[in-house]
Amino acid sequence: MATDSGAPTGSFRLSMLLYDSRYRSLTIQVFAFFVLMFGAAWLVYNTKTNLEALGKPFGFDFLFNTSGYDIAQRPIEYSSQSTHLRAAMVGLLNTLILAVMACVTATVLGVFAGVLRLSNNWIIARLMTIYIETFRNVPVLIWIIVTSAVMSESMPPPSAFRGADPSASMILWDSVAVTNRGVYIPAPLVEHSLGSLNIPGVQLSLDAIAFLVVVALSIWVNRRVLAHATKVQNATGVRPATWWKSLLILFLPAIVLLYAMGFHLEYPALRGFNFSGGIQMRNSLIAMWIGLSIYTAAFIAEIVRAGIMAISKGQTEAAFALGLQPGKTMRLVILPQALRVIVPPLISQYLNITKNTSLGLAVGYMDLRSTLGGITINQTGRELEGMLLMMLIYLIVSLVISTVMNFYNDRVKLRER
Amino acid sequence: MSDQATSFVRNDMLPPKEPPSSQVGVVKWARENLFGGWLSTVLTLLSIAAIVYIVWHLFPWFANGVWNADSLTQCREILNGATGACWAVIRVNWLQLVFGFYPPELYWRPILAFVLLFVAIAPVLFPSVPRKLLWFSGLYPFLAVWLLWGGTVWAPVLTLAGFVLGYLVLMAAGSLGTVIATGLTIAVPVLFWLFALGPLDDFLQGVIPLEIEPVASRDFGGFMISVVIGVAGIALSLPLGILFALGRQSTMPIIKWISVVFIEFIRGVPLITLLFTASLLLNYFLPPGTNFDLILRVIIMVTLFATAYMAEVIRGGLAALPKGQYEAADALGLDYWKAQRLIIMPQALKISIPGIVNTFIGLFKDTTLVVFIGILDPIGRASAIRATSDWQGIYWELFLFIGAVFWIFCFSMSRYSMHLERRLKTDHR
Amino acid sequence: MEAIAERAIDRSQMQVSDEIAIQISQMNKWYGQFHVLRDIDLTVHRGERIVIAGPSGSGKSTLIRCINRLEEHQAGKIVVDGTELSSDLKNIDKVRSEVGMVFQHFNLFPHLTILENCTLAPIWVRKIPRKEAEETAMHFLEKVKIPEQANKVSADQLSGGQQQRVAIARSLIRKPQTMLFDEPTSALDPEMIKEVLDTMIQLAEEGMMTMLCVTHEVSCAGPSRTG
Repeated sequence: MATDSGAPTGSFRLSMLLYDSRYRSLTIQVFAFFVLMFGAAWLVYNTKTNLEALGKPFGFDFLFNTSGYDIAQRPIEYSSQSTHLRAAMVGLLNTLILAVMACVTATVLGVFAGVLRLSNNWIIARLMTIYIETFRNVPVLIWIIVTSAVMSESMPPPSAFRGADPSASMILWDSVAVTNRGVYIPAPLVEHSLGSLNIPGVQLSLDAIAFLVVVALSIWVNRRVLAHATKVQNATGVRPATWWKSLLILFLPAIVLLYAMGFHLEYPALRGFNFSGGIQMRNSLIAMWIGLSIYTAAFIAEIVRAGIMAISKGQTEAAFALGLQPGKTMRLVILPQALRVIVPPLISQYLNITKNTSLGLAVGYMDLRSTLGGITINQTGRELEGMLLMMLIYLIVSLVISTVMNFYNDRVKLRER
Repeated sequence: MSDQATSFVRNDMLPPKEPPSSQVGVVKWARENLFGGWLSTVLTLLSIAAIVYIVWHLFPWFANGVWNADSLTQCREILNGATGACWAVIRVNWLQLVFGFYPPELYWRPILAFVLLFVAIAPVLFPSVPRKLLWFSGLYPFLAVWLLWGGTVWAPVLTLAGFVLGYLVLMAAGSLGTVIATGLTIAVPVLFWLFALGPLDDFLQGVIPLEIEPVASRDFGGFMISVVIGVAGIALSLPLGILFALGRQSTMPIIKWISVVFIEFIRGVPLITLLFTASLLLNYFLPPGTNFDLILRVIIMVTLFATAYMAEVIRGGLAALPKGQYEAADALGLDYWKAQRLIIMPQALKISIPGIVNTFIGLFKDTTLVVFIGILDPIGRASAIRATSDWQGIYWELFLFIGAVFWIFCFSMSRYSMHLERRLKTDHR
Repeated sequence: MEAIAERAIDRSQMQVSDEIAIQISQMNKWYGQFHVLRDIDLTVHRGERIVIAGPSGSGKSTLIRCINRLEEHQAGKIVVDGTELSSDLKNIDKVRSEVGMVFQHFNLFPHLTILENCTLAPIWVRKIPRKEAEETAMHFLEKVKIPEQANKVSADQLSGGQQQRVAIARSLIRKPQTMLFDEPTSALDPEMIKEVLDTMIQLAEEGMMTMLCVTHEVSCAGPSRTG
């Protein structure tokens, strides 16, 4: 007959709310909850009173009014006749485009700098140290503003490309023009377009979708081939050569598709006093992109370096002693362990990049903060709703990134065990 | 064959020989460190080419720098077509870049506050400094506020008195149990600040007027404002960060969820949105008619921002402590707060100091964002200077100067944090 | 656990009073779905020295950790020196102030000196003046034969055996009625085990302290019988 030790011998006394471990945590939590609710109610009440005093309603209907302002960089159709909601979507897309671009370049630069800093070459290791220490110890805003200033004040105007003996010339086999109005790059175009899918509000290019589907399929098939190779290796001990199969599977279908659609590049060309054709990457985008990339790459380099250093020399020596070649040692022993150390801080750097895109204001990049949180708020006077909505969107983007990355991180971890 | 069984014993030591000449000196060093393989050789040559190119182009610009001029036009006249920096812009404007519009005859006050800052943080950062100085560290925030903003001495003194009161209550109410003591310790000073501080301030000011010339917040600017916001943010976020870190580790679900939601919310949104909240929205959330200083509002938001990051840093420190430390504290009969104060926090904070310093470096760099809400920090001052007709079109010199100052601050702090990490590694096995 | 506990408890016949120090009846504990301790009954008289032995994972440590409520039991009754352990926090404080505990991994506080480790509880829990607490601490450090180490800055500078003796002194200084030893020698090198055991035997010989020792090593159980 097990008596419940938790049951008090006497009846309930009031002092037990404080001196009994079962009730005390409840007391504290109820108290904290009430303080929180009271605080929230106080804020809501103040807000309501203030809004009433100003004669402002609370609601999100302003999002459906005509925005009345232009956005230079618009990945989806937009004009000053569009709604504020549409403007916010353009801003969000611009934020995401910039974030993805900066994440990719920062990772590439960072991995290079981090690995080179560990190199045996004295001079390159020193140079990388200087790069890392210079860039990460100066605010990113300064890098952005400086890049912007360099772009607009030191680059040649489009007119410099004119004439028989121009003072400036295009680079990369006449495909890219760097001017003080932005960088012009070739635009990918197709001759036999598959048309586009019109969902109300958004227009999706079927060409792009087809391309992505083919690439995804290729990657999937390639993984099956690799899995098969592993299976053969497990059964027979000999791993069949896969590199040429992988190359074929990964690239051939995409190339065939592009050829069938009549893929070609449209090069920017000088017409009159400006370039036309191609894609214009505005100074604001370039400044944000370069500024964020070089700044964050310095941090990523340190993360990569720390990750590699965290794997003790003993691991390499043990792998060598087992007869693994350097390449296999890297792939089978070092990388799986280093990734486990590298990925979590890398995720937070990606989050930092995404949040830092909000500095676009400094150079006039029309991101979410400049559209919804900037011009829209100023024009409609709805700071409260605009800011709340904007914070919510940033929060969702951050949560999505960290969820996806954590999912990846868990997989890296699992594979480790 | 039997000869082979005899073992060989060497009786005298062979004299040491010189290593082969390819293994010593500059040649060996260069071979190993610069030309160890074709990749390394290519990298070396590329690096040297890059260094030569940069020095070739930048050296004349630095060397021809003009220090004495009143405008960019004058600079260009002096340079007469040659490339060269116009350092004159720094020479003319550096006081503004450092102090903003702080009255020049009162510069000694921020300078004194800055110097005393080092005295105040010395006992925290360096274990060799006498512990007695921690008293000064506790007093410093009030002293610094008084020095920077000026005005009557009684407001900071009475604010400090509130903390002393809280401590006395904690000592007196200790026997009443943890919960009651904690509640009273929070409630009494808050009530004191809310209701007694104003009248007492007026009264004391009437009886013993002790006052220095007040300086308005809008006159603050330049690096001074960066340091003020950064230091205030980090100092205030430390205690709050500890509370939220403990809250996140709590076994009580509501407390835990409040902490998690707060931390993840703040970490999920850009600082700039919080700053805009401070400048645009705070007036909505507070009772009608409340209107307080923009710098104070910014400090509140920066504090909240840093708190979330600080909480995560400290949580890392807490997680690094072995469970046995908590158990030993329990077994000795220490209650929750005593265990935290005497056993857990001293160790967790020590482990966290590198992270705290890194948070501070990040925060210090992030103070540049206040330029977006109209505070004239160094970047704001620089833009203002660039907008004047005298210095229109100048940018390298200004940003180089600002960047260099930030760099010196941040680099030295990051070195300190690395030094700490090394020391911690040797401390803990 | 039930069977093991009954079998392994070695009731050595020594100066045992009739007073009951620890009374455990029908005590049960689960970790989630896992039933660790099943219907434990144990009566310990004042001055009794008991060794609880058994294979690892059998719940020995859990049992003595329940006695000062580092672990919570879900059913049954534990009474220590007349105080029942329930969710009442005052009772828990009272029991903990009467019961000393020595851990497998010593759990000294590395940020404090040896002396401070010992004086911490007297100063902050018992509210004894620092001077007095330090004198008592030195007395007990002498007893475990390490007074010369008192001002070492970090406990990490001591050997394992020395650390464990400091941990014993840290518990003794509070003059507990009962001492709990949770695998006190299993984290030690063989040559260190003896010095810790000697200290424990010395304690057992000296007074009327109730001692409970959990171990999976017979070397610990052996000498205690002679005490």
